[in-house]
Amino acid sequence: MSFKLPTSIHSQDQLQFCAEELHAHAAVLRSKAATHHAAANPQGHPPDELSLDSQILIELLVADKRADAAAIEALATELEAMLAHGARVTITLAALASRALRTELVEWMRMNLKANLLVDFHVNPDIAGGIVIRTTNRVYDFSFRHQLLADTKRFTKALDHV
Amino acid sequence: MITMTGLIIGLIVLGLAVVVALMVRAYRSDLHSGQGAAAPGGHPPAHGAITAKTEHQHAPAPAPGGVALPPGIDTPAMEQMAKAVFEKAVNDAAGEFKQDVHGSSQRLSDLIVRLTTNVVEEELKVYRTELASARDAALESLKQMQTAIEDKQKELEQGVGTEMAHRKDYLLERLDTRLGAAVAAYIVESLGQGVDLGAQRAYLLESLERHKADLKKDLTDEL
Repeated sequence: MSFKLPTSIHSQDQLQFCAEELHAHAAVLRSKAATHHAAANPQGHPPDELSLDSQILIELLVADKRADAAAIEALATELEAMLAHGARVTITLAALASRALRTELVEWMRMNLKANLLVDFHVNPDIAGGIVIRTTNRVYDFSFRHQLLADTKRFTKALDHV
Repeated sequence: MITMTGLIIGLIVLGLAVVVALMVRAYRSDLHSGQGAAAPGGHPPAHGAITAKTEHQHAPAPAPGGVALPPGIDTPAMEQMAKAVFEKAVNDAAGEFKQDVHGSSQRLSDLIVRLTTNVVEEELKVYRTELASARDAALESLKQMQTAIEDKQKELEQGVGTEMAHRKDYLLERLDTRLGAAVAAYIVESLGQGVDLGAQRAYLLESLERHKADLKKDLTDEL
C-alpha cells in the first residue's frame, strides 16, 4: 500500500507515535472483534481517543477499512517502514515556526524534493534568521548569521559608504 | 779627487820632511863620531870623508859615504833652519791635510746627506705608493662594504615592507572577521526571540528554490 503523508505529519516523532498508536489501535480492534464489539463504530470514523494525526492517517484508508484491524496494522507497518527507510531532513529556524509556515515548507519540500519526506523542525536563535537544512550528507546554511560571517568585508565596505 | 791630491801632497811633504830629518840626524851622528875619532888613540876618519874637526877646527866631520859640508856653514843655524822648514812643511801639510780632511768630511757628509735623502725619498716614494695602494684598497673595500650594506638595507626594507603588508592584511582580515562576528552577535542579541519568521517566509522559500537542485540531488543520492 502506498499513500501520501499529510503535511501535518512530517516529523519522525509524529510518525513514530502514530505507528505505535495505530498498532495499539489495531490490537484494540482485534480484541473488540473477538468480543463482537466491532459494530460499535459502523460509519468507520476513527475513534476519538486517538490523536488527531492518527485519525488523519486512518481517514486516508477507504471507509470500509478504517475499522479493519489488519488494514490499520498494515498502515502502522508502512509508517514504520517510512521511519526506517524514508528520506528525512532537519530544518533549523531562528524561532518556533507557525503551523502554517511549517506546513508550507513541508509541502514545498515534498512537492519539489521528495514525496513523504520527513521534516524535523529545530529552533536555534543564534542563527538570527533564515534557514538551515541538514540532510544525511550535508548542511545547507542559509542563515543570517552565516551570511554575515561568510563575507566579513562586506561590513567594512558598508562602513566606507557611511 | 781634490782630497786624494791633498793627501798625496801631504804624504810627499811628510816624506821630504822625514828625509830632511834623517839627513840632519845623520849629519849629527857624523858630527859626533868625528869628534870621537879626533880623540887620542882613536881611529882616523874614513878615506875621503870631509870633517870639519880635522881640516877646520869647527867644521863637522863628514859622515861615512856622506857629503862633507863646506867650511863656514853654521850647523846649528842649519839645523834650526831645517827644523823650521820641517816644522813649517809639517804644519803646512797638516793644515792642508786638515783642510782636505775637513773638505772631504764636508763632502762626505753632504754625500751621506744626499744619499740618505735619496734613500729616504725612495723609501718615502715606496711608502707613498704603498700607502696609496692601501688607501685605494681600503676605499675599494669600503665601497664594497657600503654597497653590501646598502643592498642589505634595501633587502631588509623590502622584507620589512612585505612583512608589514602581510601583517596589515592579516590584521585587516582579522578586524573584518571580528567586526563581522560582533555585528552578527549584535544582531542575534538584538533580535533575541523576537524573530518574525513570517517576514522571512519569502526569503526561506527563495533560498529553498535557489538550492532546490542540490537538495534534490542530495536526497536522491542518499537512498
